[in-house]
Amino acid sequence: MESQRVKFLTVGYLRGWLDFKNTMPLSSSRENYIIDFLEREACTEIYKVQALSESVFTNALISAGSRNIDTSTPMFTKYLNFELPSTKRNDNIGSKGNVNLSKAELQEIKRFLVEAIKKND
Amino acid sequence: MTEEIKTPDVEKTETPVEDKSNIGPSTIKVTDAEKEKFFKSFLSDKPYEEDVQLFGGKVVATIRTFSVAEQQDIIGQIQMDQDSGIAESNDSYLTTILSYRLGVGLVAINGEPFAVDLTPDKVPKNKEKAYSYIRARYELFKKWPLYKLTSYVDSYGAFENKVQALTRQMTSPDFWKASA
Repeated sequence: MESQRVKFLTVGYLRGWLDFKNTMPLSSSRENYIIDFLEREACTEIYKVQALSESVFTNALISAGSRNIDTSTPMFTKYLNFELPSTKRNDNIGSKGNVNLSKAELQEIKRFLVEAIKKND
Repeated sequence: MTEEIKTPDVEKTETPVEDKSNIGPSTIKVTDAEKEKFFKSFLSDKPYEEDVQLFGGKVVATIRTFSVAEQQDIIGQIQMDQDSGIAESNDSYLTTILSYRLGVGLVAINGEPFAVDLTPDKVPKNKEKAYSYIRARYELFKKWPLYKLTSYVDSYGAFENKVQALTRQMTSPDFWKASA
């Protein structure tokens, strides 16, 4: 798996923001600035997922009652602990779950919530 | 001599901020408008350009920063001067180097483009004669009165100091005002 920097270099190049010609003395500083910008953009996307997950699970907690839900379950932590691999040392992008939920994962969340609500009733 | 440097494209409405990190005999003042203009050139990967008023505003010189290739061309010209003995036999060679830099950085005088025909494509490098477009541009200055050349060289030096100050400030988290 490519490093986070290589990934953002690729994104910058494909978007037409980087050409790697380094024609100006500050070209490499500009490259770093754009990579930082892309990382902030990626973080924003992650925060969106986190906020959505928090909203969903908070509503589930309120509806089901906190006694019936174990908040340390992997499903909770998986979606609430998204972050860029580059923010953790000795980590790589492959070790984190995909931000996009699969159909099976969505079904699992739905089943969990339905059962939790039933228990509360 | 203190020169007033203006940026015609960006309206100056802010109070200039002193660059206290500057190491030198004087502090350099840069405005937010100049910061913005510099950042635009940085982001677009283009030379930073300014209009400088000379001789009480009677002359407006447009000057800019160099590209990497132009910097290398200047170094190449100096190397040729050394190889041919021009540099060694010339006591005022430092002035020659400053004039080389001015020749590349000078874009226009009162809106009239400067030495548009003297480019790397049109003036091929000749190592035997120690001649390139850098030298060709410098030759134009030889016809100028000394006070005129000195004034231009001084202004270009001040411009380069300001660019250094802007570069330093841009790496600071306080480059932009939080309330902007």
